[in-house]
Amino acid sequence: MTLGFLGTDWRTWAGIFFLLAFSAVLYWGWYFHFSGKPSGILYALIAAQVLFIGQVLGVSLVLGWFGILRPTPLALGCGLISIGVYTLGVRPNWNTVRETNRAFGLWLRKTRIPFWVVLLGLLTLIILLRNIFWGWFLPPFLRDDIAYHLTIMGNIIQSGALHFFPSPSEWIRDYPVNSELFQAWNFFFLGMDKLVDLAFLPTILTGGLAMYGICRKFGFSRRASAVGWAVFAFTPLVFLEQLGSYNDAWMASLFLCGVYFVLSHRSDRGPDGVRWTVILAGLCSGVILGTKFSGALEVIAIGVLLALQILHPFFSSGQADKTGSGVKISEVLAPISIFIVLTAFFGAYPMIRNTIAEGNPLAPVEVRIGEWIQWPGRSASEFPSIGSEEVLQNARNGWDRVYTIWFERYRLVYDWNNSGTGPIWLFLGIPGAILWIWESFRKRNAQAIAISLLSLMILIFTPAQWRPRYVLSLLLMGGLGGALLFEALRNWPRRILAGGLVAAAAFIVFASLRPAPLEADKAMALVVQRTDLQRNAAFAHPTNEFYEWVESRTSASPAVIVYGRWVDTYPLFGSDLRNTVFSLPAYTAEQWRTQLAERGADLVVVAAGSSEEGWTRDSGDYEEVFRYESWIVYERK
Amino acid sequence: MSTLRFGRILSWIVLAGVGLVAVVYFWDPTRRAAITQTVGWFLTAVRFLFSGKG
Repeated sequence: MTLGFLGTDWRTWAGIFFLLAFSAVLYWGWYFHFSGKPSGILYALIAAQVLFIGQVLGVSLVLGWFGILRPTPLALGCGLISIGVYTLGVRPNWNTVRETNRAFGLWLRKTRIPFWVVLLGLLTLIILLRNIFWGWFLPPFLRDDIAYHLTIMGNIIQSGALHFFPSPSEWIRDYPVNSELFQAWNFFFLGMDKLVDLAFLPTILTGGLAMYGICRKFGFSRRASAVGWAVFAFTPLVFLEQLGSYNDAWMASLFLCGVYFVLSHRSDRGPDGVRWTVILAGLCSGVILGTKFSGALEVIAIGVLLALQILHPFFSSGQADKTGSGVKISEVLAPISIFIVLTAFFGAYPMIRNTIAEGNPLAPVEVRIGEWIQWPGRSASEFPSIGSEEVLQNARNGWDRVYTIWFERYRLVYDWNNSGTGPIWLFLGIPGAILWIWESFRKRNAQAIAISLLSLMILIFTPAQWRPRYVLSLLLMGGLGGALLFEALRNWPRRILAGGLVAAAAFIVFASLRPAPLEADKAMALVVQRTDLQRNAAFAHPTNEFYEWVESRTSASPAVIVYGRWVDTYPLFGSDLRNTVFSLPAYTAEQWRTQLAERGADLVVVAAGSSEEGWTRDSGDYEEVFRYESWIVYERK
Repeated sequence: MSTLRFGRILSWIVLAGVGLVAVVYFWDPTRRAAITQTVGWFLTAVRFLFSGKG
């Protein structure tokens, strides 16, 4: 293999070029389509990103269900849709598109941007460069990424299909697939995982635009709306999750996009405007549902807001007087049906799979109402303890945990699991959210009250809501409240607030520059001493001696690797997924030995002292070749 | 929503509240540790690069 430029060979460079160019063609097709409509440039930017996700995920899901999810059919499917978009949606309105964009360019040049917003823009640029740098040079290294997110991605890519993947890890078996499927888009055309960590970055930036747009929809000035954007964009969890496979910020961004589309719903823009609003909101909702089961609460929130928005004209006396026709059922049922169908199309697959395979759509979580267990599984209260044992021990009750975690008394900004709220969450987000609730009731603003109540519903019903990454959708109220607070101040108090905002953002940007769990020399070695194939998750894992051995054993000759007990499986695949990795569900020695022979396992990874170890050793077909702590590797003789 | 206007006294109260939270937030060893750890991390990285290993 040639070393190439920056450790990347020419084939991968060609793949990167194709990925970026093809994604741009897909995105800009939708952008041009919407910028030819009266909904505005901001709407076009947000809609294009959501439809790009919908296009990629929609085609991937269908191909995956038919078992033909490969790069060529995926590119053909997406390409055909985009030919339709350019031919039917862009070409007829090309003159309007050009005029709208030219006018926007002129407006942008004339607009005077406040200095503090310029500073926040520069800090955003620093964060972007930080994430692109580490995303480019480091292999996937975060805990959940290599434990299950990317293993799910690897399983889907290797089998070219969406189905139930047996594993001792309930996360690999039962977790939804949308964010992993979207990351696969960044893998397919490169043939390696170099850019999978950066898959969510554009969507999270778009979430910031949606937050700004929501503030504008409520009538806030551009400056106040920029404060709303900053509350969202400078929450450390949000910008840190631009990198990696943690999908909370991706989900929160899609939630904000969904709310933005619902608030943009205007019946006076004709049936086309209404239809697109419903399609876009349904798309956000479905992608969220198929990303994480707790997203169901956000789906309900978007759905209720949409229903209120659709029903609103029928209950306002003015409309009834003007039309004199009353409520037309079809005008209510049609958009709500479209919303439900899209939500089901993008979000129902993991639930159907889990119902068939596990007898519980929300597996592995037990669903119970009082004493009545509807679907068996593990109690929801067991899950928050993973990685948070010390927090739970120190902070016994809910309030204590919220105080400890939200005030970051325990961890620093870059701990994904137990922290990451940052100072702006406290200075502006929480006080702003309280102010927002107060004002929404005082002004009797129906939309604002609905947002307040639905946000509180998400907070109350989300399991382990003290963990901030599960309740990032609260930033909707936090951002709106921040804008409200800023708008309410004048002169020097406003300048002090803007200064404080920049100072707090600068602090968290600086404190987050390093890739948290990696030691400096290990990270630098990955940057300067390795090629892309050698930038494997194996070298970033804490127990890297075991993974490094597997990596060096399989670098020249790919292997079929079978594992018997829980292990972080992704580093076993290799960065180009050259190794086939799977678990064997066996209950007897005979079953185990038969399956090892049938699947042609080259290497068997087992835990010392486990039944699988005994079965493998006693089979006589395998010999122990490596041992590290509790892990033993057997190789076929 | 955008028509809300605070009076001068309320502005003072809001800013004082925000300032108090800021003091509580930064008057904490973990915040100072965040800065020193980041500086230390990059110093180690630079030492690695100039040690001949890079």
